[in-house]
Amino acid sequence: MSEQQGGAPLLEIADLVKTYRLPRERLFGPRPQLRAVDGVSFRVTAGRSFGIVGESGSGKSTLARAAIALEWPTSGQARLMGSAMNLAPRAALRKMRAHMQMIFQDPYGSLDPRQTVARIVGEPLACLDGISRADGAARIAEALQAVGLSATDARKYPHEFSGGQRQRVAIARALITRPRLVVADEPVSALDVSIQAQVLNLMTDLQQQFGITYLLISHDLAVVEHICDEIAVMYRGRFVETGPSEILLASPAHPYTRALIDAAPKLQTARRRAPAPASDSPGPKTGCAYASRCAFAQSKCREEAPALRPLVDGRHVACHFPL
Amino acid sequence: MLLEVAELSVDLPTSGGVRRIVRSASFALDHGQTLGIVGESGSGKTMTALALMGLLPDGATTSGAILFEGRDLLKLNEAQMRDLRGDRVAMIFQEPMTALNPLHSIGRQIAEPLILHRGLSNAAAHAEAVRLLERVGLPDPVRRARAYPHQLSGGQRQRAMIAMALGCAPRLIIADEPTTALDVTVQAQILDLIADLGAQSDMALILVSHDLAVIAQNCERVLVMYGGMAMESGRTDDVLARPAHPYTKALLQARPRVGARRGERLQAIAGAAPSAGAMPKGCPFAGRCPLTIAACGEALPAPVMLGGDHMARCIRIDAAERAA
Repeated sequence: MSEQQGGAPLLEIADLVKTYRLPRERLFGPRPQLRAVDGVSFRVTAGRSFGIVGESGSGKSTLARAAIALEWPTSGQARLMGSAMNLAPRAALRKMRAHMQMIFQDPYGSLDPRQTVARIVGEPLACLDGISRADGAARIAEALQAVGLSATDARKYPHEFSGGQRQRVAIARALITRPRLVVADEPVSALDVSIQAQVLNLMTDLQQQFGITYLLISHDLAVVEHICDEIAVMYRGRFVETGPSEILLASPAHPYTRALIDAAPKLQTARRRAPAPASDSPGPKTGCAYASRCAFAQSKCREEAPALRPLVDGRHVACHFPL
Repeated sequence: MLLEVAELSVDLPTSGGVRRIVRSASFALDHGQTLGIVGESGSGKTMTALALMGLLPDGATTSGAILFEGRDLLKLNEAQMRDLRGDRVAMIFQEPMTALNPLHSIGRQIAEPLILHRGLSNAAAHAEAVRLLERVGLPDPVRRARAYPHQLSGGQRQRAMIAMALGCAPRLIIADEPTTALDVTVQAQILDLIADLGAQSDMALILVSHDLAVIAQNCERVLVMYGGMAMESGRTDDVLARPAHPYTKALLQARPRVGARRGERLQAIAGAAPSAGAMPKGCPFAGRCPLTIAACGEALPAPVMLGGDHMARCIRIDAAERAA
């Protein structure tokens, strides 16, 4: 990943671990733990949007939430513009929240149906001190216009909007504090194709207009490549490959990245056959977590977990035998 | 012809009055053929599929005809339909967790149609269920047959659903978004499985999806639906290579592609699809379509044949050709 020229990166994640305690399997038995995020480090530089790709259960959403202090990491740190969020006092963290906002997947679930759009969009202003009522109203109108809605929409309720418009409301809410970093967790996957394009175009425009950097979480490689300069591929809580989008997608080094690219449906009639069925086993305790699914696995893969190491072209890959 | 759907319309009562959800859809399918029905939410694709299964919601009324093996399914009573369903025509649903009964073992649920339609004994049906689970590629089928739905992963549940649908060797399988709830790598495996099994036993397949790419890679023929209307249909190769309807063209251009330049503007389709309550008299795409003229809003466009069985319902086809 590229180094920051001077100053701290916008977001820096250092060896972040998040474990959840699962319910007991037996009465009086120990509570098993799930390592949802298992030691992930990366930097997001201002102006270079960062995408995290992975399948369900890979830990990508947990990582995104931990990155903006919606979850506390079990260990490791998330630093926004140089200051560690888990060490910051409450009031300081509240101020930091103005610089980072989030767009959620489901525009039906993420907007309170009993609040007007003005209240929904204006809510993050609470983390800014000294915003007067009139200033607030002006900011709400400005945010609504920035996402292609009209200022008069502020009086309406979420049910009066279509899915695509609701996602615009959610984006307006994320914009209102003029954040530097916007975390978007599957922002278009609940939308129809014709509406997806509208929202993706809007996200690109805002990137240029307001200098927003996205941390985008998605299972859809084409969506991530459309927005992001850097991509990380996540598998079972770890990054298996990171690097500049075009290089990573054009010549993946990790077999899992290759599998994801091959499996994505394409608009052509002939299709490459899917590889052998994945095993659903929880994976070996030692070695590479992907070894049981990997077509190229050798004995070393089952014994020793590969570390994320740099390749010559700016990528990092966690594989003993990169492609 | 195995299946011939002619001028199928479906009306559904809602709190705001009766709404026409499917408008004069026609298509046909022969033994062993695959047809993809693609559409956005509210396009009427799922209602079309449910009409074929005789599973429309209470109060729905239909017109037109659905000829399956020479019989009009719309004229059958519920008992006759029940004999057909699961036997001659079977369905694979989107969310196997809700389509499977959580209180019955997988084996029992697969055995049920075999006992019902094939008159197998309990023991024979159970043995057959294990064989079916093996055929859909579930490891350790004897143990899986005893498992309950919650003990399987999403992909495994969908395999079990497919085993259930295959049980009586139906002539037609309808799969409604069978892989939408699954990860991409699992999706590819499930689609391969459905394709292989269909080819092995000369079953016809109707695949319903919002994803044109999924249809492109798995179906010989495609039907594009929007606002309850079949906008365009034909061989998948023809429709992808020479899309005739402005909606199909727009749909093809709206998707971001891997390898495209970053931040490149996508050809978004302005506005939103009409809701069933506000369905216009004419073409449902009128207004969102860049080629809209006044006549578009006046009457349902008639089918225009474009060579072979490539069809599009648009009165502006010539203009669309020139615009391309």
